[in-house]
Amino acid sequence: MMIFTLVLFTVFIIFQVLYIFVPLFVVKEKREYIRTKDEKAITILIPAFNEEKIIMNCIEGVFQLDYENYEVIIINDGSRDQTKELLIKELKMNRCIKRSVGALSYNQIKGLYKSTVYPKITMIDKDNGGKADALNSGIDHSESEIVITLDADSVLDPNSLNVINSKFNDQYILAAGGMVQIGQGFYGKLKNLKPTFYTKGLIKYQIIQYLTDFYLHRLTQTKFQSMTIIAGAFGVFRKSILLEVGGYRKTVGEDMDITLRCLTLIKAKYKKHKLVFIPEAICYTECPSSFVDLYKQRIRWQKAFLDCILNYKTAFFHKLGIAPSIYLLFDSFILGTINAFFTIIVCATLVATQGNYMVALAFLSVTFLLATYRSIVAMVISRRFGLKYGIKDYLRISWFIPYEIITYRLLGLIFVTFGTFMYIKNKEGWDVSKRDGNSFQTTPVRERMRKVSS
Amino acid sequence: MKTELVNILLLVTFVFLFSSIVNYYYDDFASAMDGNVDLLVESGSADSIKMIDQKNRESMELSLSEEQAETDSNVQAQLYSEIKANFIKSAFTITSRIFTKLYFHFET
Repeated sequence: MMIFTLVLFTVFIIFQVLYIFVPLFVVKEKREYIRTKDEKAITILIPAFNEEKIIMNCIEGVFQLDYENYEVIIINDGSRDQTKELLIKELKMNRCIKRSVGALSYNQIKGLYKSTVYPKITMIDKDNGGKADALNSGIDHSESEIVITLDADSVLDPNSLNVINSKFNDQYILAAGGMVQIGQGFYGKLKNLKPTFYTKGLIKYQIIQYLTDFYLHRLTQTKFQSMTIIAGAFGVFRKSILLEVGGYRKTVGEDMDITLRCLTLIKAKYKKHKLVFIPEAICYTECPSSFVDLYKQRIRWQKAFLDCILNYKTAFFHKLGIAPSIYLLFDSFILGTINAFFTIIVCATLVATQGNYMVALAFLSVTFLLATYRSIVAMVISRRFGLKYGIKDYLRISWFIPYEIITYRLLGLIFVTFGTFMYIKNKEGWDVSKRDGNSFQTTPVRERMRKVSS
Repeated sequence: MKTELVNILLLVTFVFLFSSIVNYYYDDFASAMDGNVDLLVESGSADSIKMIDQKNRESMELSLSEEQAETDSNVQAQLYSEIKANFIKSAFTITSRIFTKLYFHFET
């Protein structure tokens, strides 16, 4: 038992040290991307299901893009609220005809609409079929070489498409994930957002978590060609690759599934190609602001993860490749899921076994050191990417980091444990987290939406 | 230059803190190891002793100075320290073996 614990803990340390020091030594400084004349055609897909409160925030972000050659396809996936009516009214939409490839299957389309005031924006109105189904219909109707998938609660940074355009000059990049920032951690106007750490504890926890996950994990995984998930909130794909893998699979974790499909294709056919993380391409998302909503979101994530692991259980190593398989099995599955149960068992065993509680304390001390370091390095890296907080905020962060490790982070353990049981109980369940429409702490959009709803 | 300095500073601090923790809890790991080793004397002489850990299939040889060989407690202390080192080493060895075996299993 003891040797098994130590082996598992050694694996944990190896991964954590990689996550801390690889990005630290890889990231030097932020590269600036400016608008060029050579703009690739980009389609932004926004699937929407009952998003009347937040969809206009997303559209507002699109209006402010510093890019010309793009189109937006909003897919109303059978919303039961006023999403469709709001879009038709706000964007002054009329029925239109749009060509489709016809390569993917999806539920029946009821109508296609085009904005008369913003001709780049189209809406597909279709029967409800889930996010994957909605995205497939969008891909089928897109006319661009590059496709961006965006959640309806996400807002694109004005410069994000220029970064993507520049990065996709590299023909070996098949798909990429962008940086997802927590919108509630910013204030001001979209073109001049300022970060702030003066917010609710639950949001602070998610800010730290997102910075760590994206700046440390994704950068390290990109370095080792082992990125196993391109976040659904902000993913970029070559349309050809989406068609070649047969589009999205209808599952609770469609974003991870499509990433693994791309990895399979790379291993089988496009050896030199890769999936990357683009930290300079940013989108802002509204994170859950209550425990209940956070719980729903994380249960969904855990279900999605387990679904993909089981679905690809025969593909590890020989089909997915060595590095992605190691990250997925060891870091995500063994250390993430199994370790959640294991931690509880080991802690109980060590404490119950006389004299061994000091070993439990040793594990906790190392874990605390690694967790603190991860958060500190995430802040250092984010500063290198231009996310500079004020002195007061850094003081708040320095107090919050140790506090968060011994409080909020334990929630992760609970979510993983519950999520696993919930998956066994109901594989398909999808609990939607409530959003308030507060993408940022202050936005003109919020004021506008208040007027719309009143 | 500033970036490199920050990197080095963070690395050095981490190594220092990590090694301090490991050092501090070293004895506790060893005591938790009771029952995980099964030592058997293979051969011995006036200035050295060779032992084998039957459970972990690790052998160790200790060179003993005159003062150390004088008392049993000194020999035991040195053996104890050797066991601890082997224990930590074996954890890393097993981990690397797992990765290597997996690699060859799936690649060949």
